[in-house]
Amino acid sequence: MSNRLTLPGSPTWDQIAGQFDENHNPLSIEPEPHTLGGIYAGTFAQVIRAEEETAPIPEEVPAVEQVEAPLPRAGRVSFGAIMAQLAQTSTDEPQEG
Amino acid sequence: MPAPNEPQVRFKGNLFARPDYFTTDVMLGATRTPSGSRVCALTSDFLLGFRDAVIYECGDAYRSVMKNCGRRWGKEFARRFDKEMAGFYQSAVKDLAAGVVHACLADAFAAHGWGTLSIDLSECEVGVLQATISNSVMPALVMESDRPSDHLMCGLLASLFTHFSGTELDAVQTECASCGASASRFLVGSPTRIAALAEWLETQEKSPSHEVALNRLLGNSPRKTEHHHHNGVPTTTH
Repeated sequence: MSNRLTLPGSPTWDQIAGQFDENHNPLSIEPEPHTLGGIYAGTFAQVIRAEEETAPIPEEVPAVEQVEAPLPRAGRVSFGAIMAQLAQTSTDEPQEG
Repeated sequence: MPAPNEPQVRFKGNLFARPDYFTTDVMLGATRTPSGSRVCALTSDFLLGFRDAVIYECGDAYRSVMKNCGRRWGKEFARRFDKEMAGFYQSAVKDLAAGVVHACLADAFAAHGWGTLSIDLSECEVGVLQATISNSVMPALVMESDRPSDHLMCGLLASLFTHFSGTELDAVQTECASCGASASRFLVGSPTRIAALAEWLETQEKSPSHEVALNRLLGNSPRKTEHHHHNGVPTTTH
């Protein structure tokens, strides 16, 4: 006898496990509005669809690209140099009076 | 052509927009970044509940408690950002061009859902850094307040630039969306000067604008050079 708790109307553990492949990726997400799992699955499916429609994920990260034009000369100054300047001027407190 | 002492400018795309940047192991129930750092998402309800609990426990001191939480958070984020950027660019963050770091920081903020970050490095030569965050989390949750409410981000920015500058810095929020401004705006500088400015801001009946606060902060800073702004980074003329 199984000691797993199964709520009335909700899918069994085996049914849930059967929806995932060996890498734990969902095989399919089919909304079944009569179950709690179905409601979640439907919501996820909607979110995934919305994201796919509004923000397509790039196939791959763009390769290394040399960019010269968009940055003005000042933007090419080393970040460390600016931070060192900030550190130096932040420790030089003005004298009282 | 960049001068010999200027770093080579190269963009390698948006590290934080990689499809596998946040990877969740459903068996372990853990979400990690490519560098192996574990991250977790906090819900709006949690953040508001946490803020309410701190207000209940600490009263008026809740602002400094929240800011210290932000400092701790920022310290860890700065360490992670440093590590991930160094791995991605095969170069220390300090050796990268300021424009690249600026873009990557903004990408990181956006990818984590913290809002749109913009930093202005043009006053760094007089010890002041300015930051603006649009759509920041806490002001959007708090909705309405008579005082700036972005204490977490204030602490985070203080820690972030403390990490990069290697010297202790503090931050103060000058404008806040919960007070009717269009975005959260911050000034970062030495703890002494920031504390003095924060004290002055507390005494003002009506919150001064960011520009007024900046001018007050710069009032104690002797300008050694004139400089012009170019996209938030300084061009110095001697």
